[in-house]
Amino acid sequence: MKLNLFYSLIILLPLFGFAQEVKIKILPFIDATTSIKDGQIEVGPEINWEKVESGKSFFLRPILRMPLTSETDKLIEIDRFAPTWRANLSLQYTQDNTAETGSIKRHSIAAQFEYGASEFKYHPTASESTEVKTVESSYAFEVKYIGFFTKGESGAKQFSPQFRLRYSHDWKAAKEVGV
Amino acid sequence: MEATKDCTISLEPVAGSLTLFYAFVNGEKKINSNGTKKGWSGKVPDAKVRIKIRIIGIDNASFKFSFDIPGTANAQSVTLMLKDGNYEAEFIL
Repeated sequence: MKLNLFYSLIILLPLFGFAQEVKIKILPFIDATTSIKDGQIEVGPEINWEKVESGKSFFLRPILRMPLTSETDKLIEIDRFAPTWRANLSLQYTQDNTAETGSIKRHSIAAQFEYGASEFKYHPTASESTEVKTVESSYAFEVKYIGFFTKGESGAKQFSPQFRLRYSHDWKAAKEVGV
Repeated sequence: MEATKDCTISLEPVAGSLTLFYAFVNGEKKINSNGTKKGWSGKVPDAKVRIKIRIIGIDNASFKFSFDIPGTANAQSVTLMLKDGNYEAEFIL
């Protein structure tokens, strides 16, 4: 058995054994997270900071996302160089002003930055022998606000205004065309 | 007054949709969670301890409140239900 394959199995078997999303505490304020969605794996730490008395909390989550399987080749890609990947940095600050009495007031502001590269193949002369590969970068950013307000009484209305602004510049492969 | 007694409290969802959990010990906020299980452990003064919980959710969702103050209230827990999306209670131990 090739050494690379052996190491891949050691990494992959526990991942498949777990559910779709796993969070493990590695340090007091740091969790390691992995999740598998639509054939993609996301891996990275989650750093939390919280001051409960004053209602302030902050988290920072850098994540690397890459394909776990290749749709065209039906192969597990993680044991080799994945030509497509995306790095994602998200941060969130929450201020909760709720006291022992009175109304419930909570504000959260979040931001996210993404950068990724994808490899595309095409055949300019319509012949399989002349394959051209190109790598294109994609990027995106978003800001988000979520508020939560209620009187804190039975039957009181609960309001949660939300605002999201996202800009994304994505490359996607076109469908194959026969000539 | 000097804080000498150990105190552990926790709030966790049981059924339904819970949005926010708060617990205050002697007036200080110790638990602030978005409806997921959360606990706090620390020291409290030897005199009476006042714990107030405030829970927000949807309709009649239920949650479990646990507390443990060795020598005063050993490992107690109670499952409670919101009333029209809200629950507030004060425990004096």
